[in-house]
Amino acid sequence: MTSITRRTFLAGVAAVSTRFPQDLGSVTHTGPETGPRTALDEVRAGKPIRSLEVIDTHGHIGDTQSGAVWPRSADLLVQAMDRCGTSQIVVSPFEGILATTNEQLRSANDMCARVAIRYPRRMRFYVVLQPYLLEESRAQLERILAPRSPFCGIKLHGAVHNYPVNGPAYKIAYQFAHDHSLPVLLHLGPGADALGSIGAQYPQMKLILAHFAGGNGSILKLVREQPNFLIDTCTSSAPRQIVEHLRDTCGVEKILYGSDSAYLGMGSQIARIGYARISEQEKAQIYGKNARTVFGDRLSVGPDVHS
Amino acid sequence: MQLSFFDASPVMVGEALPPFPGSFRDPQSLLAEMDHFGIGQSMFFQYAFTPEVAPRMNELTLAAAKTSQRLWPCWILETTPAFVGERLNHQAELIVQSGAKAARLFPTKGPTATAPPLREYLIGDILSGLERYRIPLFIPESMLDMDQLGLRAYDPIEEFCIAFPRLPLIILEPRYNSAPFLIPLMKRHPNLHITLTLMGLFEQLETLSAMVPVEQLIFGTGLPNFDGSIATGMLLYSPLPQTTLQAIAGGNMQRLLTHSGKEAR
Repeated sequence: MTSITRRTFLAGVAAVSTRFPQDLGSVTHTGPETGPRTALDEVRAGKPIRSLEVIDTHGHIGDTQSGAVWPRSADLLVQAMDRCGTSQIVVSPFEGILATTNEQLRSANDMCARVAIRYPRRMRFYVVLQPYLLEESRAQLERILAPRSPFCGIKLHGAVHNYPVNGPAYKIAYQFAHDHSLPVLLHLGPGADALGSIGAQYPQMKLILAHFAGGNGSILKLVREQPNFLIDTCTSSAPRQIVEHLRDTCGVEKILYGSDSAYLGMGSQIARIGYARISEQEKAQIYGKNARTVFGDRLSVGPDVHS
Repeated sequence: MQLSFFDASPVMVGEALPPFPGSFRDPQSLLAEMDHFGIGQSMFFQYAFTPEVAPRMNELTLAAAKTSQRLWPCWILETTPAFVGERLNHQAELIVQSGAKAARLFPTKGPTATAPPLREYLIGDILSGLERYRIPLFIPESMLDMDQLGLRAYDPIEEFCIAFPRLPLIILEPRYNSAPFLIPLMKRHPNLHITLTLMGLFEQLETLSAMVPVEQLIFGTGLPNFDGSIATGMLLYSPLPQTTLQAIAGGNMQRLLTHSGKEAR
């Protein structure tokens, strides 16, 4: 690593192009000459994570034309996965979360089924339970039980739907997940105080609290205590050393990697784990091993990002 | 990917009141964090709280800057007089004399504190001096009035852009949903820049790069408020061309600093 002084920096810049200078002469992001060996090396080099398996448990896709600013399609999401080294991702459709009719809800899941044919080893899907379209939502849950289904869990968005954690529609989802040992990805809405009783009532459900429940201390304590509670890591504005804090607070076995792409950008989310000051083994758990434990054989067999 | 990062978002160093989790106690701990994220150089300022808040901060900042050539002192502007008859409009000259290359607004404290002084009639004289010497000015978005869905939040920024067209203004850490306000403003005012820390929607960096001049996009981590992985990861995994990414990572700020301190003619 070379350093540069402010004096030499200012003297030097006069001699180079000021529009797009290539090098400030200071720290550069390069891996070792033999190539990146750890996730930290890979992130510092902006390389796909290949040293560890990366399974993203929180994603979204939209059914949109190319060029749309938002939402973004499965194809763009896969391109981002390739850049970051994500082998597979579990997504829910934007159109399902925002559905206001039964047809829209069905159509969103149909779109997922079509995408699954295009990306059979890269994508799995959550069925969205829209609490105001309860009967159709209940019917859609059955998709998860079909043989070799690409649907592997349930997505609840309590914030968008402004729906309480212990509302009757959500209890249907919890019971279904409990009966079939499924994961439920919950973006918390109102009534988070009821979480504790829900965990005990549906012990076979695996409840993933999206965005690490906003870092709420009492909820993180609950995640540590409840055997079937987990968190994911995605957020748009992570405080410094958040991953280390979550490990210390919840336990590393409770943390799943999530990017929230294609809502949030993927680069910052993948880098957060790679840069964390935790062991390589802990990174392996967060990036992928914990997801294997939670989702089991509903995921693709192994990483195929290299194929 | 090889990027040389210059963290333009001025990092606060020192013990704060109330204690700030994750803060950097001294320049050495900031340098260690920069090494971890591969950041070559950073803007920074030293925190203090005394009756003379800004002068004390600047004194400490300039002293700390002498400990490492990788640290660029950021001048804390005084916007509220602490003493009867105190002059504030000569700060640009003080900045130039000190060797600092940039300045920022900082929330004032104490009985003479004001609301964020984002009106031309309050700090116009100070900004005029900065413009004269082309000293970049950082303004945190958090100092804007974001009520009413932000509809009027950026009015004072446009007022400054119009009144001081050669003053480089850099908005620190605007939120991703401020983009609808920022995009037309940045197209209209070439002196308006933003740090990208929280522009974290999917491919938002790429979208912004297509919609506003890349020269106005600046790399900044927002440390210690935010994790350094947010801004670095955004660039390291971007599909944008290397030249564009390097401009954002450091080149654009480098260009602004090159002109800083030179009297505009």
